[in-house]
Amino acid sequence: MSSDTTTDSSLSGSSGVIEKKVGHHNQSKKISEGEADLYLDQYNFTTTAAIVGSVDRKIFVLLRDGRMLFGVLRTFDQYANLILQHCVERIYFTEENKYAEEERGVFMVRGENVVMLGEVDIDKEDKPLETMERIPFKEAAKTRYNNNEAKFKAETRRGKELAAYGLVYDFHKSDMY
Amino acid sequence: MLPLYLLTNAKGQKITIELKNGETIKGVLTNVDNWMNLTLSDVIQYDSDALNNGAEKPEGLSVPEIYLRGTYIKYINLQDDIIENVRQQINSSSNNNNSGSGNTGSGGGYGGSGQGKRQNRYNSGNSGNYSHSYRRGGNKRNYNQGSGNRRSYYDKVNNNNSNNNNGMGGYVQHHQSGPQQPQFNENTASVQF
Repeated sequence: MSSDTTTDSSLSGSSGVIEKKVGHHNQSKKISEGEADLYLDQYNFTTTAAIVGSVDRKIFVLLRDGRMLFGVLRTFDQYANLILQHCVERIYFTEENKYAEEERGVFMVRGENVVMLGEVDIDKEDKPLETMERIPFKEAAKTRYNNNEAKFKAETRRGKELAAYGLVYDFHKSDMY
Repeated sequence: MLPLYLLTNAKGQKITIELKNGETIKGVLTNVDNWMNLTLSDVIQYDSDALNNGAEKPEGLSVPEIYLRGTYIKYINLQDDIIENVRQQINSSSNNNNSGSGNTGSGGGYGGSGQGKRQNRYNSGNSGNYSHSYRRGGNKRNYNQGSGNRRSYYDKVNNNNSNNNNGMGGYVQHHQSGPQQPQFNENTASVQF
């Protein structure tokens, strides 16, 4: 059991290391799970592997239809298919200073529909909500639906106007974010 | 575990699917494949945005059975207990594994008895050749010694070849580090960088 990879020995400060031989090039070392995390942190993953650090944390996901989901990221794959536990959907109306939310349980989101996601600071996330008025979700969903319809009409009109000048304006109904 | 693996383990459960066009489909999951194509039974299909625009009593269309192409899915709402169930399944099956990978580690008779009814049979059918060659690779990298938690690449190859239903999700990896899970045993911790 020997590897020729050299690891920064400062990593091993975390937990449960029972054997550690620091050599120049030859280091035989068992790593704990916590260390593995630290080790992973050293890499800048690109593409979906970048969210490996958000696993088991509370994240927020924006979908292409404009939905906002908050939940604990349990697992993901290379397409950014996500499993969210304790999922909550929120609708914000920032102008009216209102919001609505609904529990959704376990959610599996197909990666194609994800616009962006990010970790949520659970200490701070409720702060803005305290100053906002909570309204029933049904009502909010209806308002959102009407807003989306209105937006769709406006954007279509705009597309037509631009087309008159020979400009292409891409707008799809599925892109409400 | 991968999302699709979780979904394959949700067979028989009642799920709610929203399609990209806003339609909602509720039904009992009967089958899933690698592309997330689904077959459902006892289906109720709701109109586009019927559930979203705040309609009081959305009317659904009842269909006994439905096939759904995976690319049209926006999201799937699963039962709340699914994660816990699948985790228990994996834990119980990885306990069975421990004896198995112990055998391989010692170079002993891993081709022994066809243990159990599912998962990780080390000796099934024509997979013998594969498992032998991958086994050597695995040992060299210390990939599968005594870590009951992680399923080695070599297990996966076996699964795929032996055609049992665990092959679907592929390489099962626990992202979680809950206390109830088998922890890395430092004495035999097997991943090296």
